[in-house]
Amino acid sequence: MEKEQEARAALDDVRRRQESVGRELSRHRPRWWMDLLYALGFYVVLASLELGAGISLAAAGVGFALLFLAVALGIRRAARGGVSGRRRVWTPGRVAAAAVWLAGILGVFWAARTLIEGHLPEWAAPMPAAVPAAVLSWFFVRWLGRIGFGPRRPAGAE
Amino acid sequence: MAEPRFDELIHASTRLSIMAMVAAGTGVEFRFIRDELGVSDSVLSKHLAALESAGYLTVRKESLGRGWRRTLVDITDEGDAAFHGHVAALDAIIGRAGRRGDPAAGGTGAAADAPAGDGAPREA
Repeated sequence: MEKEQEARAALDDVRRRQESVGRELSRHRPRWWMDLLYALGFYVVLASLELGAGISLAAAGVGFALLFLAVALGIRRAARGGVSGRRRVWTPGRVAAAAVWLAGILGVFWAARTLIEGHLPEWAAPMPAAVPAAVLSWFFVRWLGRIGFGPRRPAGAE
Repeated sequence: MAEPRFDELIHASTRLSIMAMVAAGTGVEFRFIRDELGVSDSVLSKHLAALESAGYLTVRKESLGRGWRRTLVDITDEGDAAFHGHVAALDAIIGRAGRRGDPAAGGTGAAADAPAGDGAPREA
C-alpha cells in the first residue's frame, strides 16, 4: 500500500513537471503577428509572380524577407525560453505531412489562378489567387507551431 | 509502451523530476530546472553529474554572445528508455499499466499533450 502511494506520488510529480515544460514552451512560442507576417510574406511572393521580371524579383525579395523575418523572430523568441523545443519534432510522418501542406498551398494557388485567369489580366490574376493560398499558409505555420511547441495553453493555466 | 524497468538511479524524487522535464523537451535550461525544482545550483549540478555519468543526460554550454552563456540539458536515448521504463514500472505498481486516458499512465513526454488530428503520428 505504501509502495503504491509512493508510486502514485512519483507519477503525479512526473506529470506536473512535464506540464511545466509544456507551459514554458507555450509561453515562448511565436506570437500571432509573427504567423501573420509569415502568411503576408507568402502572399507577396505568390501575388507578384506576373508583375514583370524586374518588379516580380523585387517583390519576391520583399516577400522572402518577410518570411525570413517571421522565422527569425520566432526562433529568437523561442531561444529566450527555458526549453528550446519539443523532442522528436520531425518524425517521417510529419515531414510527409509538411510536404502535403506545401503541395496543398501551391495547389490551391494554382487552382484559384486557373479559375480567375479568364476574368482578370494575366499580371493581376495571381493577386486574388494568392489570398486563399496565404490563408492556408497561415494555418500551415500554426500547425508548425503546434508540433514545435505543443498545444496553445492559456496564460496561467495549471 | 515501454517495458517496465524500475531504475534506482532515477527513482529519487529530484532525479525523477529532472528526467521528466528533460524527457519533455530539448535543450532544457539549467536555470529553468533549478527554479522549477527550487534547489541550489550545487545540488542540481550534483544530480546532473550523476545522471550524465550514467549516460542518461548530456549537459552542454551555449554562448549567447557578449560573455553570456547558458547551460542546456538534453536526455539521451538511453536516458529516455530508462525514464519511460521507470514510469512503466511505477504504472505497474499501481496497477494501471496500459490504461488509456490517464495523464500519468503512459502520458509522459510532451508529445502526449498534443491533441489528436494534428496530422502527425504520436511518439511512443
